[in-house]
Amino acid sequence: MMYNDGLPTDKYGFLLACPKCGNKEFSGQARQCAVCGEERQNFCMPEDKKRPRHVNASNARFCETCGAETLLYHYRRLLPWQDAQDRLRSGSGPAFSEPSVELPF
Amino acid sequence: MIINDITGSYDPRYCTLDRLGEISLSNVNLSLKQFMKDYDVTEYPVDCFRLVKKIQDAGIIHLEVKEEGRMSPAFNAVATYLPEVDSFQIVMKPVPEHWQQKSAWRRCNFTLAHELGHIFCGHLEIPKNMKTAERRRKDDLEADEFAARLLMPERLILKSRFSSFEELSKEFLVSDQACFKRMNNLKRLDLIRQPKQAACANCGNDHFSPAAEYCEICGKPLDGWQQDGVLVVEYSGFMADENNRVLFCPVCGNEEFSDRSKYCRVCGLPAYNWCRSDHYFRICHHANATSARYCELCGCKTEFSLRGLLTDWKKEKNEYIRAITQR
Repeated sequence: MMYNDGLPTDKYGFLLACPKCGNKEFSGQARQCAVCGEERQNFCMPEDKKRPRHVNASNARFCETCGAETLLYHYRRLLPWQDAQDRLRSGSGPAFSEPSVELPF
Repeated sequence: MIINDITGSYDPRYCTLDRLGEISLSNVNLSLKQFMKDYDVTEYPVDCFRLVKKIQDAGIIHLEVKEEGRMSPAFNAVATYLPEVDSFQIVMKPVPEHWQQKSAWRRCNFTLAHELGHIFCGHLEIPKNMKTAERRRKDDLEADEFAARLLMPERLILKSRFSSFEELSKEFLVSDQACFKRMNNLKRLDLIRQPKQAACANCGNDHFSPAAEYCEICGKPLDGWQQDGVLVVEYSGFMADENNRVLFCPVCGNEEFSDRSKYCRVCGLPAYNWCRSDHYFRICHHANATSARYCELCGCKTEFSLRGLLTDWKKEKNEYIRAITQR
């Protein structure tokens, strides 16, 4: 099964919208969001802050290298895989969730 | 012995199957299928002494087994039908307890299965004195075939690994002669001359890597005798590449894995069936085959086994035997 519910990215793998605040204005290849300062790539978020962070594909809920949760899944921009699987099987719309209207900060 | 003289796949002198017609064979087949269904025969080897108790407990027919020391030397056992009490009776020579699992006991096991064959193939419905000698001989051949198929199912015996009839007969609880006759009827005597390959004596697993020190299915240490198993069982796993990494995630079905991935990107399940070593001083972390319940290097439980993705091997063994014998 192909979980083709990844968020849109440019050809370098940078997200076109900030996963945290939804900002879409980025200058060139900005690595962080200018509004909230969050990363623009789907990094993993290991519990131990000293451990290295890995970049993952935009449909990854978990890091392929260390198994930790990813940024997009942490901010619930990607649905839990069980829900995504149900949506993909029934063909009822995109399997990613829309950003919330209210800013989280 | 006769076995050494044979070069082909069978010896026509001892082939009894050819003497039975198609109707007789289909009668045996149908009777056996019904019998196995009624009494749920799934565990191998079949111990007919225990099977008799199962038949008595099931209560479908009334069966009595008697031991009689004063029987004619020409008979080991006789099955009869007692119409006045609507009951079947098997009278056999006494089987001393110290014979357990020995050659003589295994011979009695086949004899008992033969007598059950007479009962369940319907041979006792017509009294013996009303049958011709030819018919009685055919009945005996049918009962022999019933017993052979019950104790040594074709698919199971042909998948076994053995290098002598002694090994095979011990595994299936029959005499060497019965084994020879069965293999001869199946026209596969050539199997006896093939080099023996390893199989776990406990679970029947036959997948061993050169570095394996433990059986990956049952976790037993692979000492010399542990790989001398006869019965072979195929255990299920998940499709994997040459590095034992799954091709599809067994939990979420994701099939996208990058070259570096060690975990499923969708549900976070490890893509390798790693050893979940519980040793205090060392961590094994060996990537086992996807069917492995235990690490082949240290004998600890594996990732997939602990997560409940692999069924218990004893249950799977029974299901495999049930599927293979009742097909």
